[in-house]
Amino acid sequence: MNRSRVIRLILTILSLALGVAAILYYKSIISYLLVGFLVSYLLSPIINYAERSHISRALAIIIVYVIILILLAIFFTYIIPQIIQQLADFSETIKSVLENPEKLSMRSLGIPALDQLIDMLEKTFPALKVDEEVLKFFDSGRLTDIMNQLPLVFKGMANILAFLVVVPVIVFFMLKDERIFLRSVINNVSNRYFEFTLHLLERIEESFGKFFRAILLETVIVAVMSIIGLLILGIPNALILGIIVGLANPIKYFGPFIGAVPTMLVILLGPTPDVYVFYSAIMYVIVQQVDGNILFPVLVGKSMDMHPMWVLLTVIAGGYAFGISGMLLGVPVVFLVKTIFEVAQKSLKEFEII
Amino acid sequence: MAITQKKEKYDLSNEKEFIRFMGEISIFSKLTKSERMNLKKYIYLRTFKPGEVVFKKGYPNVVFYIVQEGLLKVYLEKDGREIVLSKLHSFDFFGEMGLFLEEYRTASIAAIEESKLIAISKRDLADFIAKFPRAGTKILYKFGELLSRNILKTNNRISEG
Repeated sequence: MNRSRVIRLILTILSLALGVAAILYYKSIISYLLVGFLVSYLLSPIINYAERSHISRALAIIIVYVIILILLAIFFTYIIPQIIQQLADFSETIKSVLENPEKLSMRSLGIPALDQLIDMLEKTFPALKVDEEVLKFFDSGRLTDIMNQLPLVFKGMANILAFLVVVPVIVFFMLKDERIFLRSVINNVSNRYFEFTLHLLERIEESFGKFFRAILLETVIVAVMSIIGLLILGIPNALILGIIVGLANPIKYFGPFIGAVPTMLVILLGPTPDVYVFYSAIMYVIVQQVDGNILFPVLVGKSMDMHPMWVLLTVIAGGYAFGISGMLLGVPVVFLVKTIFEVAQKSLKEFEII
Repeated sequence: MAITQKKEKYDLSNEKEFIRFMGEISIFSKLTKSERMNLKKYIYLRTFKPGEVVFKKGYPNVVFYIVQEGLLKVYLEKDGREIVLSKLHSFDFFGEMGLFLEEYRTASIAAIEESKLIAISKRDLADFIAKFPRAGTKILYKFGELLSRNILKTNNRISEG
């Protein structure tokens, strides 16, 4: 081993150690950085657009912040109390049912077709007691767990405050000096990989950025459509139920069903006539048709090039590994990894690096 | 593409010298001083050692280069042999075809002497033109003029030959 190789080895080990030390040192704020990165990624098209209209980046960011503040103020004064009220109502409804087991009987729901089905099932399988099965399902504690976790959100207020102060600052600098940050990274790339790096970044941004923003827009539109539909039907808790539908929507195949469950529960357990299950189902089918035939093809369309079977398996595997969040984030994450690999492989070949 | 050679050396980190240098490049010569200054945020400065390859024929078109100083060769490889097509000096630029075509590089470029290059990525130039349309128009006009001249030259060569 000659000397320069030894030196290189030592330097590599040192820089690795330094990297690990840096991660340990900054580990408590990594989540802030990630959120900051995500937010600035979402806002950067707006800032770039403003810059093109000769508004300086700093000013554009401040304008965006003011708008967000105003929206938040509206949100907190008008909408949040309502959501909290609705959440409380919702959890009360479910808790009251769970705490009085004898009250929960499928027959008490008073749906004739369901009663007939239960009668038939119990006649065919004498060992089966439908009401007990349903109770057992709820007793597994999952639902109550979720309900009990809601106050936890408010316990984390101190953390949230720190978050609310730090993240906007990070976002401000990330957005303002976006080009400088990116440039300082690219400037340090050796000549051999210079064009390759630029090419790779452009390609990844092209395919993933489009996909990500499209999904986000789709979520918002589906939520708004659902809220409007629920308001027209006059179902209580329309706001929170519509938001749940929107948030569940990006989960392919399962999302619409998962998102509709709370609505059905609210109708069945609440004062709304049970027949509204049917009406709201029709409303959700219409929303899904608009989403599936117009929104998804127009917004996401070809930007997501993944086989449907692969998507389905990814959602299921995500659900097994990480629960609902796995189902939600599985497809985007797998798609991102897939995109990076494909693009990197193609570019590496084009630039004769492999 | 050989343009009148000036032996001057420019320190591009200096604002005034950067503006002066950019004024010497034909495609940027029509830009005002402040427009040239704005361009500074969109460039990369790269140094190539003798023998180092900038890009090879068949690579994707990503970046447009201006020679700040040094000497480079444009070449093609045929049966392991190298055919040098031309040489590039200070104030020359290359890769401009890539700005307009989604094609691959048509020739290879390597440094002969240590060379300093100004690199502008295709996307950054598009950004610059979108943000400063007036300056962008001047640049595009210059490119149009340059490409037309090349066609004229080719036409003349064909009619003569």
